[in-house]
Amino acid sequence: MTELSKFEIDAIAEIINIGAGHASNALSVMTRKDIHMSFPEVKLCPIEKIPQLLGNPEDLVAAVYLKIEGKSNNKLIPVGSLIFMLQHDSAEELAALLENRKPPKEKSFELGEMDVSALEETGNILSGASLTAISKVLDMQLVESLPHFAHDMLQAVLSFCLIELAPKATDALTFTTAFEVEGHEIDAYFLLLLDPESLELLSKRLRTLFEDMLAEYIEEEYSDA
Amino acid sequence: MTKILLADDSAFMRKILTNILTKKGYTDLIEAVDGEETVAAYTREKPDLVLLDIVMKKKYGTEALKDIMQMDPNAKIIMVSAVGQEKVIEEAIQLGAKGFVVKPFKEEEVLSKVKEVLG
Repeated sequence: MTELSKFEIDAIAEIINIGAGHASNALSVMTRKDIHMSFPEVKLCPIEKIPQLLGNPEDLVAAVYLKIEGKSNNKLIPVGSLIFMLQHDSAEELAALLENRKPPKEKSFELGEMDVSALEETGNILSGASLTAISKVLDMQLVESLPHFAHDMLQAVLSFCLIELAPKATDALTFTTAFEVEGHEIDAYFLLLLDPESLELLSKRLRTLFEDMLAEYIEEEYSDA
Repeated sequence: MTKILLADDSAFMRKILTNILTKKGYTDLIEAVDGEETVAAYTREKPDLVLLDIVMKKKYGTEALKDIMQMDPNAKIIMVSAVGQEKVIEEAIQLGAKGFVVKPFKEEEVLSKVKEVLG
């Protein structure tokens, strides 16, 4: 099992933050809303503990799920999956804001067709931006599947998403972030579930990048000595 | 009147693009929700321009792009996708796309690319 050091986890957080930051800025322009995204809290979390991290297993959540494959020598290899998840209340609020209408005052347990489309596209865009950043580090073209949307209990959604990965991986990288859309706090979660081989590759690439940076720094600092 | 085909599986994204284009006088808009429908709509409607998403049901946008370019090498197609990786952009341009706009986009980005490609 790959162990990620604190440095590597910080580096991954920074990579994801750059991608997601660009995406939230542009999303803000596109929807004409003032959107801020907090710096993501990144954890390497045992798969069985993910439900506890996200809330009560019976919470109603909305989730966008994408499978990721990598293109290497014209072959597709499994890389992992990405999940963008919101508690139902946050999903309802974000959808209303994106659609330029006031969030509903009364609680409902349903999402309309346009709500689903707006959330699905938001998940898709934020994931795309994060994948662009990760693909640069992995030096590999990443191919995402069609986004799948689920609106169900947390436990049911996670079971569906984790079923393929669980036999192969024991840990997943999780990102917890908060959006602030025009004064409305919206809690969102990104889960990047990497296959063990991809996690190993990401870790190796980060170490190489760090060593290259260090070598460059030493050369610059001591070239005149 | 300039006819534009909006090919995106997201109703939300089609709505945003419609709002942006309509405000600038592009009102002859048709929609397609997947890759197969895109190719069929292009064959039937012969639009002046296509705004084409990549990750779509039934047929990916890049496959639809190949089919349309084979049918009409002069087709004007702008890819509009959240997949902003350099290799994907290069591939689309090699296949004949006239431009690439990465989602999320600014209104002006879409309009200037549309104007540039329509000439």
